[in-house]
Amino acid sequence: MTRLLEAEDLRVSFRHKEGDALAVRGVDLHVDEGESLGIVGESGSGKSVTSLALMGLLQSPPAEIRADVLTYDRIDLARASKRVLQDLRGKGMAMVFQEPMTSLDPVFTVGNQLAEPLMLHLGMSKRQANTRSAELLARVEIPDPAGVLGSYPHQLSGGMRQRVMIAMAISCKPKLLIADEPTTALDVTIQAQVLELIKDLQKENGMALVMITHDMGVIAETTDRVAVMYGGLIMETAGVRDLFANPLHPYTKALLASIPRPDADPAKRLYAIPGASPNPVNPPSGCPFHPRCELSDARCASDLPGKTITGGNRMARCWRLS
Amino acid sequence: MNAVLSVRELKKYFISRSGPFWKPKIRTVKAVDGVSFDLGENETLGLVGESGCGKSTTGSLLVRLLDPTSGSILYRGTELAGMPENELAPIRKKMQMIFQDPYASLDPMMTLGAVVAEPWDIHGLYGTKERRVEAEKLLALVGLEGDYAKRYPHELSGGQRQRVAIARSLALDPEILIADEPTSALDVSVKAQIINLLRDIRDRRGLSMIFVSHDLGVVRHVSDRIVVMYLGRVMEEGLSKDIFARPRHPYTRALLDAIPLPDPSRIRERKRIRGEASLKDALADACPFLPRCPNKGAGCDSQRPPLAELGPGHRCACLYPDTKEAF
Amino acid sequence: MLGYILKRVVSLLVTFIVVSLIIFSLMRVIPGGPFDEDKMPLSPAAKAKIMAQYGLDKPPAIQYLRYMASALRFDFGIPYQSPGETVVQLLGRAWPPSLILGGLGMLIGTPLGMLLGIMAALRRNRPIDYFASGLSTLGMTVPVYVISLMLMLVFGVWLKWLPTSGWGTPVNWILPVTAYAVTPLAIFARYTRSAVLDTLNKPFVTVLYAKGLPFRLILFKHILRNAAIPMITVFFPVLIGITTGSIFVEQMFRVPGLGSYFVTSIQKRDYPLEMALILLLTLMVGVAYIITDLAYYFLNPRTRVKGTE
Repeated sequence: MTRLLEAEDLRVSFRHKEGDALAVRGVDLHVDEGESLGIVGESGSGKSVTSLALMGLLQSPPAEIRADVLTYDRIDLARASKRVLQDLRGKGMAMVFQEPMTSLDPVFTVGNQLAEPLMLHLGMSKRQANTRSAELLARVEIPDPAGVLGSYPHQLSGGMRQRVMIAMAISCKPKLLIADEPTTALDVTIQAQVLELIKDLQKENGMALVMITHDMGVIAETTDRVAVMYGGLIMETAGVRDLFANPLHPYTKALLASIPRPDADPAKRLYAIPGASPNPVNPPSGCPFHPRCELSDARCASDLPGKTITGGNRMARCWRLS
Repeated sequence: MNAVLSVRELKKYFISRSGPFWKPKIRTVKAVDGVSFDLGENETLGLVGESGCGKSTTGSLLVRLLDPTSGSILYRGTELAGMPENELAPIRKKMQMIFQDPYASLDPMMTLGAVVAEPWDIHGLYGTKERRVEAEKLLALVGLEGDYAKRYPHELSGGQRQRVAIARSLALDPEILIADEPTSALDVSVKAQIINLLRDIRDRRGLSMIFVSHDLGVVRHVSDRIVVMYLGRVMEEGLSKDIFARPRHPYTRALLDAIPLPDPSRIRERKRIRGEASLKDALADACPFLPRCPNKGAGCDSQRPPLAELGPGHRCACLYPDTKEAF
Repeated sequence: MLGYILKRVVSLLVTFIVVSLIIFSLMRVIPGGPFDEDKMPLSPAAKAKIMAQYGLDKPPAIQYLRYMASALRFDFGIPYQSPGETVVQLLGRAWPPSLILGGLGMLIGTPLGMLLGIMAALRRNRPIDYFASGLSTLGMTVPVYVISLMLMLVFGVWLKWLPTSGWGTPVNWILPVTAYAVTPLAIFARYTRSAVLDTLNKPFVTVLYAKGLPFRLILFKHILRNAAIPMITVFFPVLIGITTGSIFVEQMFRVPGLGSYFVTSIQKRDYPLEMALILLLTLMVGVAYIITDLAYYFLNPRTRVKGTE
């Protein structure tokens, strides 16, 4: 297994007048070729900012990015030149975003926007790019690809637009696809179609996938390994089956217990995690989850727990486990 | 069962006119196209479906935020559809609504105490001093004890704001709550808080509730009965446990199959449907689900399948319903 | 497409008629007439003769209809304050300087303003942004006659580089055009800055970066095109709005243009001239809006093709 993406002690903060927002506070992660990593967390967990930092899409003021290691395909992302990064984006690694309704430029046709990365990264001519674009649209199961090529984004539904985004992202056959909540804004039956599409494309192209979501069901369906983020830190990582069968971290356990499931017994009261997600401008001291954790004690409130590594690739940050 | 609310053939058509006035192009959007159901005492009815199915519009019609194009809404025998505004006021006290967006449903310029007390202001109840006391009681009821009354919405998290919205909805001591996607804009860990809160309040006060949502997991925990809508019409209706255990309508089935379950080891046989819902498919004399339906057969394109009774309290608008179990 | 233009032209004609009716009535309503007697007392007979000569003895409705009938033949009568020529001749003489002044002013001020606005938006909160915003505020708040005065003082009196009045040679044009250009520069700097900033913050721009597009391409292809849409809505109307500012510039620099006639024709109750001027203004405004609508139609695909939203 070749390691494709490696990040060690990634930290991202945003300068604000009221104080810096510590969005990501020391995250280690890695993705191997062809692997599917899930990053699950709620709002304020830092999961989206992590993905933007990996792609180099954060504006550098106000964002400040630091990392001990940040490499992709043996390229040092922290030190690489703008040209190298531009070349990488869209070709080596690509991203699909959450809101299909606002992700496309409204004044250019779908075909025009699809052709851009093809012409830029692969040096195709306009005609070649259009042919390839039509093929891509067909692959993402859009009916009438030729017609859609000449359409404007506002003529397509949310599900269609998201498929266009996916087609655009995989057009140059990137080795890594980062999907940030790709189906959150879609209806559940469309979500199922799009997730299936992403999984198929991943297999076909041997692509690695980073799936960012708040939905544990999506994690269960689409990932091999999972990192659970909370308050800017990774609380637990494990293989997907291990995580669900035997969660170690109190937050993971609480999260799993509080999900309203359609196959659950409604007579049983749902476990509700008290409190609310931490504010990045003023994160809690010590373990970020301690104010809401049933097992927390004085040590949890003052010291950030170190990483406990257990066999089989599992990690968890909790004083209770060491 | 006494029906607190009885809806019959409710319709809401949105008509838009464009083009020059001598040759207008009229487009009709049939957002709600003949919906009927009953809501019993102390019962929670879940109104489910995907975007565009008309569930939110139906909720708005019930409280007369929108006026129906046709059909009847009976509140304990009184016809609400077509009732003039001034007569609605006393009835409005009995039916209150909770909205989806906790960031938009509270006036940012009002303190929380003022927000909760506003209904009393509108209906002329309680003196100033009493209002303060009662407002604090209501806020405490939803878990916001202490001096929350003086705070402003922007100081609260989404979950807390939704609690305030719930408190406000209880100010007039209603009989019926209509909750329009109250948890959809909330974090996963907070959804459970609001679900539990709604359940507690409903049980304690003996409220009837209509719970509109696209999230079937949430609906499962809150509803006694469920109505499944698609493109403005009712596809299936029945007890929550029956529908989740054995969905009969192929759309309900597809809806349940599509939900990704947080359980990687579970293998279930899932039917996938293709395509998207489009109002163009909602023809007057055919089943709206026809273009995407795996069960389609003769007769589906020539009539609107009637709601047929398939079991006690379980009705389904399909000529070829499913029979297998779901979960 | 053609039908659309035709519709707009027809509505413009209707606007003309309505405007002419309103102006006509307003002018007759204000007290006084073109031949008031405080300065030059007239005998009743002489007065009657003059009134008949100018057709002012007939009832207003007849006067209006006679005026409109000749207007259709492009005969707008004779200006009372300058009976030696027709209104059309007067306009023909006075319009070119105003056109040159306004045209050059816009031609210089607008692109400069836009450039300044774009740079300010791209370098937000840096020196150039503060400079552009400051200049723009000054340009919009300081009255144009003050700006004219300052220019005259600095360049005409102190430095003695440029003439301060007259319209003979192009050298005379420099100062008045500069004074005129300040307003469009200021306005467009502000509008462009906010249009570009708004566009930069849109989510699809992040997606463009994610595709690996170089900044140059993002700016010139995507951002400017999108920013142009809100800009266009204000462009031509601002253009026309600025024409009224020419009155001050023309007075200050003694430019023999239409500006002064706008005011004097009302003061002197010069009905024919004043009506013609207003109709001319209406024409310009109407055409400006038609061009704006057409430009908007071409720039924004959402107006051209119906969507699902």
